[in-house]
Amino acid sequence: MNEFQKIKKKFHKEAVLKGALCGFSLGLLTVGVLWIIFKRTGMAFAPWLYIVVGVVVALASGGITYLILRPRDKKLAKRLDERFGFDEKVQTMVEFVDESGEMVELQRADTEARLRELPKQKLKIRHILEFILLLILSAAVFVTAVFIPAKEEPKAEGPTDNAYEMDEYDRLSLRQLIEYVKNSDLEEPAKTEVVSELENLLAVLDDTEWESEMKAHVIGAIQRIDLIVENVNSYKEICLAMNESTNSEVKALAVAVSELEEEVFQLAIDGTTGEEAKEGIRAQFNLTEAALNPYLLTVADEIKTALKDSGIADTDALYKAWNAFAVALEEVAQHTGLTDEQYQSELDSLAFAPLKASVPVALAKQAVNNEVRAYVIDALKEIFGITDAEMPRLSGDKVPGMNGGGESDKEQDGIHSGGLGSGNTVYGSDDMIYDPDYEVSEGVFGGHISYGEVLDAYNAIIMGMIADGTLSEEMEEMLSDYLDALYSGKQNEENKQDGNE
Amino acid sequence: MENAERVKNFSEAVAQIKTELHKDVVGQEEIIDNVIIAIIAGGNVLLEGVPGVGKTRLVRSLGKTLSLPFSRIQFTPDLMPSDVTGTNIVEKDDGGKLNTVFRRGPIFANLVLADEINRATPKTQSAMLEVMQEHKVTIANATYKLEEPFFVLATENPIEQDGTYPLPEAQMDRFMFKLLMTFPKVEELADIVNMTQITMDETAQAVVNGEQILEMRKLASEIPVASEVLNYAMNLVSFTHPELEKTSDTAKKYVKYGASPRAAQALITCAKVRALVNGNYNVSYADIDALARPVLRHRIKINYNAVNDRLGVDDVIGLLIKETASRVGRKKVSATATVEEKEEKKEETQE
Repeated sequence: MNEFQKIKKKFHKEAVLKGALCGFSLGLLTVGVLWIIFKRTGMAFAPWLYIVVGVVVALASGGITYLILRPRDKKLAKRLDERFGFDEKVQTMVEFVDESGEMVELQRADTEARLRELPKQKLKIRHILEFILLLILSAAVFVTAVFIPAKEEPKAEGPTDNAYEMDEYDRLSLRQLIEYVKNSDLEEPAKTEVVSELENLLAVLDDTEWESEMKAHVIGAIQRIDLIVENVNSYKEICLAMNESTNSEVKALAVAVSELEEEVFQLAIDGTTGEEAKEGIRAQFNLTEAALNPYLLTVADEIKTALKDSGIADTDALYKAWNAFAVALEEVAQHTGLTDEQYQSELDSLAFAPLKASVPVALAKQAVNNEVRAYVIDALKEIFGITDAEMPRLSGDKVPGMNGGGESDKEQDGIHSGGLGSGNTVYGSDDMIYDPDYEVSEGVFGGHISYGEVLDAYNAIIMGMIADGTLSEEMEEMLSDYLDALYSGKQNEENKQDGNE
Repeated sequence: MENAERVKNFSEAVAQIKTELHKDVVGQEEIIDNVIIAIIAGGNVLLEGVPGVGKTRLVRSLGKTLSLPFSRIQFTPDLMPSDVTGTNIVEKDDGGKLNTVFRRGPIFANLVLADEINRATPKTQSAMLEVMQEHKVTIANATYKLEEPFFVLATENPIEQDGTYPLPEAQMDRFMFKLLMTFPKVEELADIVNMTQITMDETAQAVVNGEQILEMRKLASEIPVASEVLNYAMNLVSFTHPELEKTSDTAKKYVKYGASPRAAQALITCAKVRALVNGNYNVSYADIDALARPVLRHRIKINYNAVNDRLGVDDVIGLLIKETASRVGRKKVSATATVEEKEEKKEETQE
């Protein structure tokens, strides 16, 4: 079967060639199609994956093609018989390849002779054109994939961003704000941190080119300043810790602490007089000796526990004031055999008097911290045009959960049970200034009004004039100092030296 | 003797037989080829043709060519079985003693011409059954073997059907081929007339003998058949049966009953001979297709649908060949296969 084996080898080579062509073409076609799809849909597909997919498809399709086309003896024999009209000679020869017998051998020899006589050109590869066309088509698809443009992502529609460049007014305003804080009564280390924050903001805004960026920087600074002041104050933590106590007197004291106004605090301790007299916290301690001493110890213990739970450092002024109060209660509890009046006298002198003296002082400082914070935040809002809607949620002055939402019944009595302050804006000075547009009475214009009411408007006008260069240097300096004083309540240098802050 | 030598002798013998036969028979190439194939294959042939086409002449010429003892039995309605096979008769020997002696009938020859076999009674026809199949005669518990090669060539007249007895299926099945002798062409007719003007006697000479025929038979039996070809032949026979589950649509539509397994045997045996006659060393699809009609036409019965569609048994066989070829996955059907192609060829030749 030599001739047959030779022909089989030829067909085998044909199968390999067609398998390779088919595999390569389909691999290329697959990669091209995938590439086009992913490009046009904008989906991501790692480059190495294309290679993997292409190779897998090429190998699989090439392999399958080869397996289909590879010449098997019987199939090839049939193919040769049909193609060249050998009247089943080759099939018979292949089937009886293992048989011996004279006739079988004659048949084999006869068939081999016929195969030998086959012109070589009759055995050339057929249908190769189809495979070449497939290759060309695949290459065309691949080249198309290379050059086809990727889908352009539509630009997100949103608010258009304006360009921003820090002007002199902003710069000056910010510098003034920094000076204000430096000269304010904001407690350390908050003062240093707020100044640093504002200086950073000044530096950053100098390089900012877009309005959205600018606002982001400003809002970030506001949030951080809010947090700085929040960290330096302690009344909220102490208040909340004391409010956790099960003791009603301690709870009442917590409510009193939640108000930063001294008058409110005093009233909470002493109570009110007159027609609508109300007992203060101090009055709750009027008990007989037998009950009072353990009671005092309980209150003292509760206060100390609350202070510990608050997490505030024991060097804090407010902490110290409350701790001293607790210690005083413990001291009074040691005294025995006293009358009610004596007990009351001891309580007043040892515990309540120092409390009433020290707590308001501590609270006042923290109130000033809040005021400075509020001023800085409002100023930043004003200078950089941050709207209320853009403002982040801030800590606020009120203690959370302690009637912090609005005015309560107690507020009506003058005792603010929740929140800090009455809600009125407090200015650092009670100076009056002349406003020509102020309507004193009907048809009568021009009068003095509280400076705070027009301060911002005046500030803006003057800042604008300073920025425009309308004012002289001397006037600029004078007006800047004046506005500083108005905003921060700062005394002049002479008053500072006298120790009046 | 080497096979190549044997094959060469085979081819030469066949060529010589053909040459001699053509001395006495004009045309009828296909008939002559098939008769030779049948003889070599060891089968019997039923020749059908109108009177005067040369049926008897062919067989007589064949007998001369093969130098085989030849006998002719003219079947008539009054022919008895013993007239065919022979009978026991009482004879006086030399000593005057009466003995029963078997007197052989005309069947005891190598080549028997059963002329107009359909005119004999079924009883007489059945006497031929054992002879044709088993090549022996049994009379009164005594069996007499016939000398090989034994060959029955029967003739039928398709015209005169009055007073005839159609051959039973069992006997029909014992004929390897049924060949149809057609009326000669005009040119052939002229040749016949010219030839018979000279002499009416057969002029063929003996070129082979019985031993050579047997040798040729043995050689042909060694021809290999590929399984695909064998499978095709078996499917062809199987597809003639409409009652089978896996059968052809043609049989379901046009066939009343199909061919017996003898048809399959005949197909393969004769295909081997035909292959060798054509100088091939293997059986091909073309061999099967060419022999399908002679082998099957007397073995299958077509139904009324075929008659209604004006299809003869040969047409139905053509459809069977086409359908079988398609079912086994043959791409090309050989030119001898279908009647339509034959008719197209005829038209082309006439044009």
